[in-house]
Amino acid sequence: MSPLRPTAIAAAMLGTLCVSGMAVAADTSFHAAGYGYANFDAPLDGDAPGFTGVAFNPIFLWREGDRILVSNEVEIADSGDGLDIGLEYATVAIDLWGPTLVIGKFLTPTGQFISRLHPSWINRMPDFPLPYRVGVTPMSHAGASLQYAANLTADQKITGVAFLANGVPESEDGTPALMQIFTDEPPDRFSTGGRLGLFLLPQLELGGSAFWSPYGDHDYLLLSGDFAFTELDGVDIRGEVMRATWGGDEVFTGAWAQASWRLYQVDKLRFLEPVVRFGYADGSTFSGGDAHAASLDIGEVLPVSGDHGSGAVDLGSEPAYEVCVGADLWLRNNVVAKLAYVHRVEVDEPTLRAQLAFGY
Amino acid sequence: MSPLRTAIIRTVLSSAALLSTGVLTTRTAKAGPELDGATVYQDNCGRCHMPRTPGDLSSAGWRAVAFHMRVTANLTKAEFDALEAFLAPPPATAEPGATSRPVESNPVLAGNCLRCHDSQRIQDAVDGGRTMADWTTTLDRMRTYGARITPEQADELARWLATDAQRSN
Repeated sequence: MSPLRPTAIAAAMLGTLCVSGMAVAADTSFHAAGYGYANFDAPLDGDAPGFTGVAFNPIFLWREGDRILVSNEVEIADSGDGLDIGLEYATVAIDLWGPTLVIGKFLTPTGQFISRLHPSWINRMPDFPLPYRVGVTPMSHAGASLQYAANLTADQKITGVAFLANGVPESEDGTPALMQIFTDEPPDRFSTGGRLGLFLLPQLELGGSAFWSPYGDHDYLLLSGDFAFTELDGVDIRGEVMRATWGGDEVFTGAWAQASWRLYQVDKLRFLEPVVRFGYADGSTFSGGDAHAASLDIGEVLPVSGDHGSGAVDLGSEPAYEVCVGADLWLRNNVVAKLAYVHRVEVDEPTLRAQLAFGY
Repeated sequence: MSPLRTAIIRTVLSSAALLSTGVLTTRTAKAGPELDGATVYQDNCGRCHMPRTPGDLSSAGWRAVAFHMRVTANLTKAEFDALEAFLAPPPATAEPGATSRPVESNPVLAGNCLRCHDSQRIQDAVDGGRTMADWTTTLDRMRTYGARITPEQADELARWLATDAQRSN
């Protein structure tokens, strides 16, 4: 039995109990939302261009009364290797008169990218930031989380989320993909982590996250700090730094930063949004001298995060760098055509990458 | 147990204590700062994605989405309440004998502004004597939020709103 099943079953049972027992015969609201995208890559090193993937991600929301929300997102994707259908998340959220308890399979709340920015119609670039393509962060967890936020003043607030979940999720072929990079030991039965966020201004958020999972005699610990500055006039600057240790030894460092500016104030160009992004991922401190990594052929390892049409990155013996410069054309506030020049510096692979994304 | 593991467990327990403190303070503290739903909507929804026009979804749809956003964006209870009141207000019941407000007669305003804002709020601003320059600033800001008004329509609407004929007092 995979690690997901006990929690999924418990979540389903608890959700059923909540819906049937806790909720009074109150009003219910159902909404179908979601997003989709199509990608096109044109390598500038001579390889043939082509469409590299399409996906459709329906999201179903069922609100029962004032305190319960059942939600899930399904990804139906074809990246050229056949049809993939996956469950991105499926949760029951319960309002505990202030804090919110979330049970089920939920997007990882560490950092800001996965939980808030990964949908293609929200992400300003056609792909994920570089550190999210090397597998040091799980996409989701199966377990329970408790979150809370409090207004300090009208303009300042503090947010927190803590979770307890199963061990690192397995990939589709049954291997514990996240830690595949570092060990072939089976994961322990649980992992934990959380994030604290502080809004000094409505426009400025600072966050700190931790994810910890034991692997036999070793602990995997990922720490990250993130920030976001968003001006309603169209300026959006955000980024994150990450550091992972395994058994106390540093095994990974990464960072990404992105700036975009929606040209609201320029009448003829108000639907355009130039974007720049920088990414850095370094697993060389670990992979360079480790026999286990060598036996795995670490360059072949693909991570939990999946490529989401973005092209996964091999975490090799040298640091990886990526520079992206692009522009988004907003056809509507929920429909965007993106074009980006993406340059993987250390392997000198420039690519023109386009994406049409929509949210609904 | 390794020192690292001890430290992590201590951190998690501290976080749980912080969160449980939140439960207690939420139940006992006075209501937090007064929040405007439109501001909460612009500040929080616009932080990650282009904000959808409130008129895009039904009231029932917004009820589900507002809760979803509460979880995703980790909104405070006060923010959630203000957001829900803004996006999914209870159906208005017209008072017997009530007459329409002057601002409701403008088709551009009715087709755009009233999709998000209550007409009484706009009428109050008109009655307060706002100038054309004030309205131009407001409408420019609304255009950045996604209001589908051309610059020419914005100029005309600002001029129209600033005239005495639109006042109800």
